[in-house]
Amino acid sequence: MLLEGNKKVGNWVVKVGLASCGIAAGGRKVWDALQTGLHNRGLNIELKQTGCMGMCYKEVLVEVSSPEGGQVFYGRVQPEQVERIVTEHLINGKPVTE
Amino acid sequence: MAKQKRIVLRNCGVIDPESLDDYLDAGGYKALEKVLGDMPPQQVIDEVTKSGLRGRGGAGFPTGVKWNLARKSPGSQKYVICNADEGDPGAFMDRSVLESDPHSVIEGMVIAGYAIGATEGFIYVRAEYPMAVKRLELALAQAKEKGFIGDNMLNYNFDFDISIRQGAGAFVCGEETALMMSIEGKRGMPRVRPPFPAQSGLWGRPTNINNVETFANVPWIIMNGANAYNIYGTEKSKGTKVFALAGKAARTGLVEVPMGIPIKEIVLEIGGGTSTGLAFKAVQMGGPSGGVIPASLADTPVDYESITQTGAIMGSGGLIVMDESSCMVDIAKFFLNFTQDESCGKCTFCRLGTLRMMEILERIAGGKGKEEDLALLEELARDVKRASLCGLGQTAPNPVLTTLKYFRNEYEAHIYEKKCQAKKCQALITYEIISDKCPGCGLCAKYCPADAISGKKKEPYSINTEKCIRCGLCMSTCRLGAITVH
Repeated sequence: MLLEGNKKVGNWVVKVGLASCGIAAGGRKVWDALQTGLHNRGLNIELKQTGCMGMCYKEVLVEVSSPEGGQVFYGRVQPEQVERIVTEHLINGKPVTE
Repeated sequence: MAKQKRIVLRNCGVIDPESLDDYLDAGGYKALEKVLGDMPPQQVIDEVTKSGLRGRGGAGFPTGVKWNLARKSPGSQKYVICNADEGDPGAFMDRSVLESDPHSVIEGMVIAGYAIGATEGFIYVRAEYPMAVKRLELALAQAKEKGFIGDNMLNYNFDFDISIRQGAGAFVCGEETALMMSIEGKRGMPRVRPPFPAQSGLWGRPTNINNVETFANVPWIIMNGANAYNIYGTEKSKGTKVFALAGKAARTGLVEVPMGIPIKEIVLEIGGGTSTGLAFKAVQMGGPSGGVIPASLADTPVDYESITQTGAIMGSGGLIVMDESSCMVDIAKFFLNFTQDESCGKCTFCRLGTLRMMEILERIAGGKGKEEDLALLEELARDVKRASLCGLGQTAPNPVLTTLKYFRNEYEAHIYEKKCQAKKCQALITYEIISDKCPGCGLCAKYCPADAISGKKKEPYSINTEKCIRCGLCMSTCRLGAITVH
């Protein structure tokens, strides 16, 4: 699931919602998958934990901010889907659409 | 998102709650610097009063007025307490703020301490929130290290220290006087007010207690000004309120909206209606102290006075959406069961009255209701309200009273027809396999926890109603819609 927004950021930043709602939905596994994925690809991209984004029904939430300033939210992320986010969005610059 | 105005939740989901740098980058602790450097205590109080901020824990008392009372109380040792007990079932607004932006609460508390002349603060957080406790402990250590709390903070002549006290599972300890007893190491039982905590609170000293959400608003109000806050909301209910959308809402989660928005906008537009697709029936607001508001009143604006007029209360923000499959008798029973369990026992009417009310409700839900039950229920409800010392007893009957007011027909159906329209009350429903639709696959029998389903393969199965415990697992398991409930 894909939602778009706009914000000014200088680098790639990946945020994962890790409050109780996110963790209960499996957020730590997604975090681990992202951490492994970024490390395996040698990507120097900031991975940040955040708190509750409010859209608890869509957890696990992952937010990707690109250097140009665009913001993409992924909802209901499963650890298996992280691979696609890393290769298609972070490396090739194209957000994943379901 | 368009209908929301995120003031309390400004940093939630944006910053790393474990990073003080993130909080500072987002403008954190600038309000504290402004207050310490530039604003005498009375001016801080006036600004908060002008903003119109009212206590977000549920009672809605004007925050600035409360701070002023504490300030004016004589005494050299005063306290600030943050009520982070959040006992309402289904409420998680405070939990999210504590886990996602703990520094905002700390900053709000320090500003309050400065305003009233306190040097010590406590955060009373329920033990059931271990992550909140962990992030608060970390935030406090970070703040102390950088001089945002502690002695001679930021080199201004002001000391303020905060420590954490954990609750131990008592809902009544969310009530301010019981909370203070708990901090003092005594059994959490409320006492008569006056004297109010602002005059005589913790260890008999002037104490200002506010809810998590109330404190989280303070830094924003100081930085942006009272007038930036009070353009939101209604005449008497200024600012925004965080709601925890739960129950059958399609989009459950936290929303922060300006006061005055109609209930239906929150439920249908932001909340996306019901997740089941069944008709929206009612909302429950205010937790066990609140009440139900039927869908017919969904135009009611969300502000303290309007909600109170319906018979419910705004409460701390729990908003449980109900659809046609919710039974109003069952809802009343659920909340009353909770408050009955949590009653400290001090007041006879609360201790015994709620118990008798529960017995009546259980009889009604069990198909053994009597004609005189409703009148007795109402009489007990009124007496418990009048004769209880604290908010728990005074509001415990609200779910019963509001469901009786708006859904009396459901109670009557339970009593006279022994029928539960929502098909929830277990004693009044039966599950049945429709033989025409059943191919005899045996799946339901496999999952039945009571071994109540039997049959031969390829022939329609049947349910033994004596053994059946009405759990509904068979119906949700059957992929062919061959099981129905009456």
